[in-house]
Amino acid sequence: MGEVIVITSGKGGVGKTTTTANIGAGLAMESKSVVLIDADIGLRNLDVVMGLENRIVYDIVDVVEGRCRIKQALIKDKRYPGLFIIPASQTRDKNSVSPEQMANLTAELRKEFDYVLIDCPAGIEQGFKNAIAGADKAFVVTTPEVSAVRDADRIIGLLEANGLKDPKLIINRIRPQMVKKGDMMNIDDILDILAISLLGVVPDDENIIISTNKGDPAVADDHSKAGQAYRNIVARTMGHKVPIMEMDEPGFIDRLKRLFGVKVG
Amino acid sequence: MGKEAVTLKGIKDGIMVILDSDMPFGQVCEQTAKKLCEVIDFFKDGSSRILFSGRIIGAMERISLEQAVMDILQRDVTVEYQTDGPGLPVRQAVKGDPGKFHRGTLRSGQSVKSSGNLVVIGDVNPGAELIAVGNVVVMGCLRGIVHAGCNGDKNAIVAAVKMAPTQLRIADIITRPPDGEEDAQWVPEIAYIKDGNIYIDDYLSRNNLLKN
Repeated sequence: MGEVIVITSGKGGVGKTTTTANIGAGLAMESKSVVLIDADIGLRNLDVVMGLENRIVYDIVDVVEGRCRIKQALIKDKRYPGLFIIPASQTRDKNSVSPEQMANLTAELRKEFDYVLIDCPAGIEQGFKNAIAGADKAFVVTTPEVSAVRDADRIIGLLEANGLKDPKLIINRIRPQMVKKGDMMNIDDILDILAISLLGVVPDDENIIISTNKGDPAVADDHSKAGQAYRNIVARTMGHKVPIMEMDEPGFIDRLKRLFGVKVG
Repeated sequence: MGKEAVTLKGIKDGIMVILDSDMPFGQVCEQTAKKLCEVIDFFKDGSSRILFSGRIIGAMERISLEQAVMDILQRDVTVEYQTDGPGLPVRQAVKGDPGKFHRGTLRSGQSVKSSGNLVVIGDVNPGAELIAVGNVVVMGCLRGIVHAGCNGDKNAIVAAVKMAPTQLRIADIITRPPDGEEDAQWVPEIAYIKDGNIYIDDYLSRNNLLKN
C-alpha cells in the first residue's frame, strides 16, 4: 500500500505545483512508482510544469464521472518510467468532484503506486477539501513572507482539524543573502510560529523558473541548489535522515567553528 | 505614625505577627524585619514558629517575608499564614463558571471562547482569537487577538509568557501595540485596566505584582 501525500499551502503562488512536480520526479528517480494528481480543477498547471500538456486525453473529472477507467487517465511521464500524472480538468470547476470521490480515487491508486502526491489548489474551499480527503500525510509549502506564513498557519489548523496530524513544512524560495541582512524571515522565525517539523528548505533559484517553463523538473539538475534541496526532501520523504543543507558558502569563521564542533547557523 | 504597621503577639511555640492590611507591603515587610530584630532573643530558647496574619499575603510577598525571617533569625523556623482570603493575588473573575482550558497551539482562524476564565497552554498565533468573560492566561506566545472581560468586566486581566497580541481588548477598551520596533527581550507580562486605560506590566517584577 502506497502513501497518499497532499501538498498544500493556503496561499497561491508559493510553489505547490513546482514542489509536487519535483518531489514526484525525485521519487521516480529513486525508482519509486509515483502518481501525481492535479486537484486544481479549472486551473490546471501540473501537466504544464511536467511538460505533458499535449498528451492529455482524459482528466480527473472523466475518471470520477466514470467516462474512463483510471488507467486511461494516467499520463506516463516522458523521462521517468515510474512516474504518472492524473491531470485536472480545465473546463470544469472544483464542485465537479466530491471529497468522497477523491478518497475513492486515492484508495484505488495507492494499491498500485508507492506514492500518490496530490497538488492542492490555493484556498480553503471545496478544492482544498477535495484534495485532503484521501490523504494520510500533508506537506505544507510556504515562502518566507508574513502573508504566506499566516496562510500556512491557517492551513495547518484545518489539516489538524481534519485528522491530518503532524504535517511537514517546506520553506520555499528563501534567499540566504536577504536573511543574513535581516530583510527576510529566517527559518527559525517561521518555525517559531508554525511549530511543525521541517521537511526541507528550498533556496530561491533562477533554474527553477527555467526548468518550470521548459517542463523539466529541477530535481534532476545536479548544478542547481534548489535541485539539491528537492533531492534532500525526496530522501526525507522516503524516511532517510538528511541534514538541512547549508544555504550559503560558509565563511572562514563558520568553517573554523565547524572544525571545533560548534553548531553553525 | 498613628497606627503600627506590625504588631507582635506571643503564641504557643512562637509569635504571631499581625500585619496591617492597608499599608503598602514594602513598609509592612520592613517593619516586620525591624520588630523581629527586637525580639530576636525570644527565638534563642527554642521557639520556632511564626504566624503571619492580618492581611492577604500573596506568593511573592510570602517569599519576601520568609527571606526577611531567615536573614534575621539565621535558623529554621516554621512560618505559617493565617489569612481569610485567597493567598495569591489573582482576581476572582466569574463566580460559578470554572472556565476553559485549552492545550495546544491556536492557529490562524481558530477561536476559543469561554464563559469564565480562559487558560491556554500553547501559542496563540496571529489570526487566532481568544474571548473570555473572565481573565485570560496564555502559557506561551500570545500573538493573536484577545478579549478578556468581554461582558464588560473591567477587573479582568490578560497574562502571557510572551505578550505580542495583534490587538488586546479588556472590557470595552481596545488597544494595539505601538507601530514599529518589536521588543527585543521577552518577559512575562500582565495587562489590566487602570484609570480607563490598558496597562501592560512586567509580570515578574515584584513591585508590579504587589500593586495588585
